[in-house]
Amino acid sequence: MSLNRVDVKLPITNPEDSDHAAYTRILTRWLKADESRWMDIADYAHVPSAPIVMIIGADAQFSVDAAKGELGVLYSHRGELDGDDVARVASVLRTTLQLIDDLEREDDCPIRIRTDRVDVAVNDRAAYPNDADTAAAFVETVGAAVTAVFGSAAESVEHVGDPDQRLTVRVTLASNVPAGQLLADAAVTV
Amino acid sequence: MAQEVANRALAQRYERIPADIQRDLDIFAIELDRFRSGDIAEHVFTEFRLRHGVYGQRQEGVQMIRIKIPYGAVTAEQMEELADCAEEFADGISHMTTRQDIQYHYVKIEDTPALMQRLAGVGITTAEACGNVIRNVSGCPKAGVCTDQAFDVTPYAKALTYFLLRHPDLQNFGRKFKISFSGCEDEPCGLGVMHDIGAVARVREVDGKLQRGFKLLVGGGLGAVPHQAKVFDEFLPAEELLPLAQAIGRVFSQHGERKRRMKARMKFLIAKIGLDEFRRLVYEEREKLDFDPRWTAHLDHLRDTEESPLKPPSALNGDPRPEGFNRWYSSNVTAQRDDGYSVVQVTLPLGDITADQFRALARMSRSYIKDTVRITVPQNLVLRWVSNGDLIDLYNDLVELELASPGAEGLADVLACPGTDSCKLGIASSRGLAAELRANLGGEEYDDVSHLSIKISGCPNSCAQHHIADIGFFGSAKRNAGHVAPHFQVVLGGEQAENARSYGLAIGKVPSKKAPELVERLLELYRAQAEEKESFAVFVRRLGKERIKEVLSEFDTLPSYDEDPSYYVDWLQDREFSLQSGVGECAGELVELVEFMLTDADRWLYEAALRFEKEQYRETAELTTQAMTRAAEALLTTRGIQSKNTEDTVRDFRELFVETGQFWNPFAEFLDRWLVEDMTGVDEEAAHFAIEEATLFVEQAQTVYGRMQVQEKEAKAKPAAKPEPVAAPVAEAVEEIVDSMDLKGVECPYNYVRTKLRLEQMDSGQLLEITIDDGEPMRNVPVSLGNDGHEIVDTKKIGAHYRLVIRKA
Repeated sequence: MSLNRVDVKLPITNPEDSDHAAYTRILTRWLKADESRWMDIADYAHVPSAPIVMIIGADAQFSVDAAKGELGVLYSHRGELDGDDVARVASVLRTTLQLIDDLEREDDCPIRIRTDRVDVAVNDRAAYPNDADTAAAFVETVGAAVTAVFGSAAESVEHVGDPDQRLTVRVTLASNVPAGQLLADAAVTV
Repeated sequence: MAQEVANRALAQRYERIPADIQRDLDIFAIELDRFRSGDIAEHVFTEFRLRHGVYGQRQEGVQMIRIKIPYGAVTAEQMEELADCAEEFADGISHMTTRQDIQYHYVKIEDTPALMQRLAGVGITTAEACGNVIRNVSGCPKAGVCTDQAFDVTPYAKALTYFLLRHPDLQNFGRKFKISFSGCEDEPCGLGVMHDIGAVARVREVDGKLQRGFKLLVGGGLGAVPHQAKVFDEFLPAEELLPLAQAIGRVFSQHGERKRRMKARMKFLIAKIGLDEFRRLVYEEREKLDFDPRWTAHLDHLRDTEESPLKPPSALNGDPRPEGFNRWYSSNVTAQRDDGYSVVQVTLPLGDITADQFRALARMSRSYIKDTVRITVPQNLVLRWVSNGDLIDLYNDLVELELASPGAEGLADVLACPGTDSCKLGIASSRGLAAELRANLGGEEYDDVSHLSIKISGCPNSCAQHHIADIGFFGSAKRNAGHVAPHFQVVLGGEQAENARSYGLAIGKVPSKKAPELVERLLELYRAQAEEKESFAVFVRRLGKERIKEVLSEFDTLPSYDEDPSYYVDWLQDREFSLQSGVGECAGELVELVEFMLTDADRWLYEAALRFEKEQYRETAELTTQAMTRAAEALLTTRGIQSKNTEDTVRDFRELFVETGQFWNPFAEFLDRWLVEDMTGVDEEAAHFAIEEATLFVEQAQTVYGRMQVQEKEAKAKPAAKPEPVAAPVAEAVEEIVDSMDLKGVECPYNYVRTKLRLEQMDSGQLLEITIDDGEPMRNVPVSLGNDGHEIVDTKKIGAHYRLVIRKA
């Protein structure tokens, strides 16, 4: 079984400043700037507890997401990944941080994203069922990937969510470092 | 051949999939592989994938998946799997359609086999959800619990659905075919008048016994040219429903238009030959049908689809009612025929639901009503058998899910097709306008007009049924000094009652951004001037088109781009509007049956090669024989022969293709030989021969078909023989102009498109007169029509306009 579909969600520091129109503006600029990566913007602001605005590519989606009563940014990867499972999760985490950094660098971005809590879900119930054995292995995988990407070990990595949900682990980190800083530090380390 | 999975629960579900369904899934996976490796022509694969519910989006590289939910009934287990699949394969949103289907968007084509497998595990199919086939059979969502029904139509809808699915008689349509069931005549649930077949339940008394049957309507449809269905039979006994539907399908298959897609729906066939002739053909066809035990098998099991309550009946108790409950109760709850129970409608914004909400509704259905919910045509969900004492708890649970919006099927419950969000045909953002109206019109101040309906289609094809709305819109556009502004055509006064009794009238168009103001103005007018209990449709008719046009004229002015660029940006967008309408796939590719069958033969050869590699020699030979037989059957279809058994196939094939020299006899003998071969004794060498011989046979069949196509093309290209010279002409023949169109003031390319659409409805050689403006229209339209093969036989300048007479190619 190969791990290709991975979702990563991080919460927003200031949900009260959320601005639908700003997301549409920013993501439209992204779409125009890179039409080989992105193909469309989908607007689900009319649906409660849903992604508000989503930019969609062939292999990934990125959105400001209001699911489960918490506003956050969600990166959903669904294309082929390389390496072992740790490398695959690490790759998805890096892409997520890069997109967050891109978002926060936009002048009209109204939100800031916390990096001290990360939810990582496997979006593939057939290959990665939400059972105890698979979860235990995935907790280890994510823990190793987080250490590689965030530069330090997580305070905790725990299996969370109801059994009818996708296999999800929640990572808690000691500090809330801006995504851009994390990427810069990682580059220095490399 | 189901995929291997680590998830034990899924693996167990896969084991439940019937062999024929699994075989269908395997075929899809194989064909997708063959297409991706370039072994199947794109147009054949397009129609093939459409027939499996896989539909291209306007965004390249991703697919919309349409999932058939017969008569909208979906179980809790199915809801959970639908939610999971939306999350894993799409963008997390399940969209309910106006045909009680569910659609996913942004699915990768390579994920479709796994997605179909997952759905099949819970008894759901995407087969024949799109393409030129019988689409999802829709039905009244209150069937079985409705106070007005003649009887529960559910078992009949179910029987007809599965009888017609993949039926060999019904695979060669020129266009799609839609069927609906209604339990009564008065309510709009079934909308029979706008279907190819509308079955409306009726009961009559014969010799003191009650007999069930259907008022059968045929030839209805919306689209750009709406037709109301005609009554085929005032009372068709229930036991005749399946064979008669089969006969109707065969008549449509044989006599329906196949070349001109715009005229290929059954409504055009009936309009052309008349209802009486259509009826005669159907009964003639009915007489020819061999008895099929499935026609009546379901009549012994009519109660199998009956639902029973989870809880005993009860009264709405005297507990304090939560805020908002009363308003929700009055719009979303109706009494059902059984005392103590209610039907609860869950309003879904624009028909969308998240995976978390869908799973939660599955849990709620298990705890309140046992199991099944139904999708409605207005894109909501209905829970039946809710014990009245549970209504407050249910409401509170819906509030928690943010799904307790009142106003189901009312003014703010705006119905919209996907439009430019994803559809290739979309012109303007129907969902964007719908979201805006939904946000504006939901307040209590609109309760007095909440019974009115608004339906918005992104193009004239009427997927959102704008013809039957009180206030309908369909997408359009207008060019102004180099910029294009999204517009909506306004259609007023349609009626849903009595199964879609009457269609509305197009009044004119307004800029999309002014549509909300127009709605407000129409509501204001209705409130002020409608007579007591006067419906909006009657009100509009009474006011008259001229008065309504006056109202519209307050909103039809388009500011220039410099004055207000926001008019040139569609709803929920942040970039200038442009027309991106491409070629739609809703009609599917018109692929001749013979091409599908030759593709089947090819696939079996491919599978035979796979078996050979696995040293399964008997299976190899069986598949190669099957491939040759299929290729022979394919050629026979070009002569209108549908094979019933192998013996007939071989006989007819020899007579028509081998003895006439079209198919080389030595290759034909391969089939004869393998049909009598003892397959148990096939060894490696024999299996190898089998593949080689079958390959030669199938290739020869393809060559014969290719030759037939070339001959057909040459015959068409051949100029008609010149008539003998006439010694003394008596008088010059006067050709009659059969239709005319005033296109003054209509901009390019709309003048051309409207002309083209009108020509498509005319017969070859007939004359159409159009009047167009000088300048750009005069430079473009004649050239475009000429490119389509039509002839401009006369051109006259009249003031600032030109009158053209066109002879249809």
